Amino acid sequence: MERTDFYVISFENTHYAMTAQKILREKYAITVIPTLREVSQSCGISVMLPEMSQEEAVSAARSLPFEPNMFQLYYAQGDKNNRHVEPVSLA
Amino acid sequence: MFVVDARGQACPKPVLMTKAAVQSGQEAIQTLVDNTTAVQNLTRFAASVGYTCSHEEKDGIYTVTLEKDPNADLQKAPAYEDTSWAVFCTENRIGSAENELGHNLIQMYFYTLTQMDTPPSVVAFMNEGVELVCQPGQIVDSLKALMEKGTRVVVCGTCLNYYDLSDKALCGTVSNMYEILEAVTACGKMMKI
Repeated sequence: MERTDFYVISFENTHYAMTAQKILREKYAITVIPTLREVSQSCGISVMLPEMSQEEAVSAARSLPFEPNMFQLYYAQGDKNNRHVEPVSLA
Repeated sequence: MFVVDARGQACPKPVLMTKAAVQSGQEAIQTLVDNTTAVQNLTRFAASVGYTCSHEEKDGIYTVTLEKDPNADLQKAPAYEDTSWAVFCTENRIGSAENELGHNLIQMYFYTLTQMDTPPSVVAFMNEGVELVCQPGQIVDSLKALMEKGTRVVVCGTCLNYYDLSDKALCGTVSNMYEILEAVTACGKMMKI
């Protein structure tokens, strides 16, 4: 079943994406997905988080040992033909 | 009524079996299938050869009834386009380089297949590709999602045996060279990875 409501993290480069997978996989059932078409400025690999609240998603993103400008958490809503994606602040 | 039993057959096999019945001159045909993709394909096929088409479902089995329409104008009938395609996967990554990127790419590849409007009719695994169906996780989840959409997943039993993975396949049907080649070559297109 296609998820129509999820949090996803994109990265500045592929090496950050792969490091993040190793860290997040220890705690979460993540899914490696191609970066959403709606997200233009990042590498092609993103990490989709399992179903969780925004608070939990922010906490997961904050656990990454990267500079804030090296990755971005997004909230995606809608199916692939009509998707709205908005950045989520970690502040 | 001539009956074509295409239960358990992946697309485009139900259409090919029904087409053979049409070509043999049958004017009333009932084709039994077990997925909605096959029903849609048969409906389009029927229109292309001047047959009316209706279907009913019972316990997950669809009975598709095709009857020759004496008033059909074949000049105006829409052409049937075979959109079936197969994935033939012989590696456990994308690309020949043994690196983390290749493993990431193949995870994303199977995830993206689940998002496509026309998912593959067949996904076949051979050689070290069979490792992908034996590891719990994202790729097996994607394959299961594809199977729910009607994709047939076939896995080479000889290859499982070679890699000491017999009985470890987590999804799909363990099969042999004859069946795998028959399934792949029945499709309109094939993508090898």
